[in-house]
Amino acid sequence: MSETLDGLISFFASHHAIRAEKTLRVAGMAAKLIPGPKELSPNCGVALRFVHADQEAVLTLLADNHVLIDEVHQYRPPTDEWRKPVTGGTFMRRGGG
Amino acid sequence: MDMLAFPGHKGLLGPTGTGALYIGAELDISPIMRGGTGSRSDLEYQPDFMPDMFESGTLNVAGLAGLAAGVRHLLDVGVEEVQAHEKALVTRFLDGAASVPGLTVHSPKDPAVRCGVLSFNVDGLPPSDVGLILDQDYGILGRAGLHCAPGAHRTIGTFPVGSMRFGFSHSNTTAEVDTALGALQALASWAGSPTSVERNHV
Repeated sequence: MSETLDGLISFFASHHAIRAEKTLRVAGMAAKLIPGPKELSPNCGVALRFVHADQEAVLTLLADNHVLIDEVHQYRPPTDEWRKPVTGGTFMRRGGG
Repeated sequence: MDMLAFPGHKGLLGPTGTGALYIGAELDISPIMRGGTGSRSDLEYQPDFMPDMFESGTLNVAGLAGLAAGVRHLLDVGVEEVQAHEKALVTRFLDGAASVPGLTVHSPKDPAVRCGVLSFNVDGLPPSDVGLILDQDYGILGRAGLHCAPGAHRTIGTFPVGSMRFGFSHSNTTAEVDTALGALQALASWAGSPTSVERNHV
């Protein structure tokens, strides 16, 4: 991803999370649905990653489109550093078979 | 057997929104919901005979046709064959997972009571992150979190973090099990590396 998605919005209802992603995408803004991190909010289901610097514009846009949100967080999951190994990744079974 | 309730959209391969309740003929119970006298249009009230007395409103006929197709397919394959294949996949996964450091699997020790479902945790990674990576990088679908079963997670000590869950079906292959193990080995190794641990605690 070219822009850093360092913001996260949690929702009470997945319905609104999905509408939020669509609203941002239609407006040409970066957005990505992820499983909601439990450490940030018990309102699980899905959460939306976005560019935190755009918070004001994003929240205005969502409010204008009647999308209900829970909370806004500054958040980057540690797994942003994860890269799938190019080689390996094949499970080596002991003793073959 | 007096009564048996089951969902249609799990092992029976039916669409969501389907399921059934078997009620023994000798039971004398009343419906908790009434409405629609479809099979007795001349009456004002719910019919008093089985199964119509418990089938209020219009049934999800298209969904139930899908459920019937799922059940027919399973009967064609054979229930024993389905069970044997699922158990073989689970056993293969458990045997492999035992040699992966940082991977904790939750499953009955007794093979006789196992089914095709198990869950696991990768040390240092929330289940939601594990699920996302398995999906995006490996095309492996499972379910992360509490699985609408907070009590079960309290019992195995994974509340409130939850776990990642796999459900092996008879259409999965041993190669897919090995791919999943390879992915988890790579993930657990990465999560357990010193740089990753430092990052997680910053």
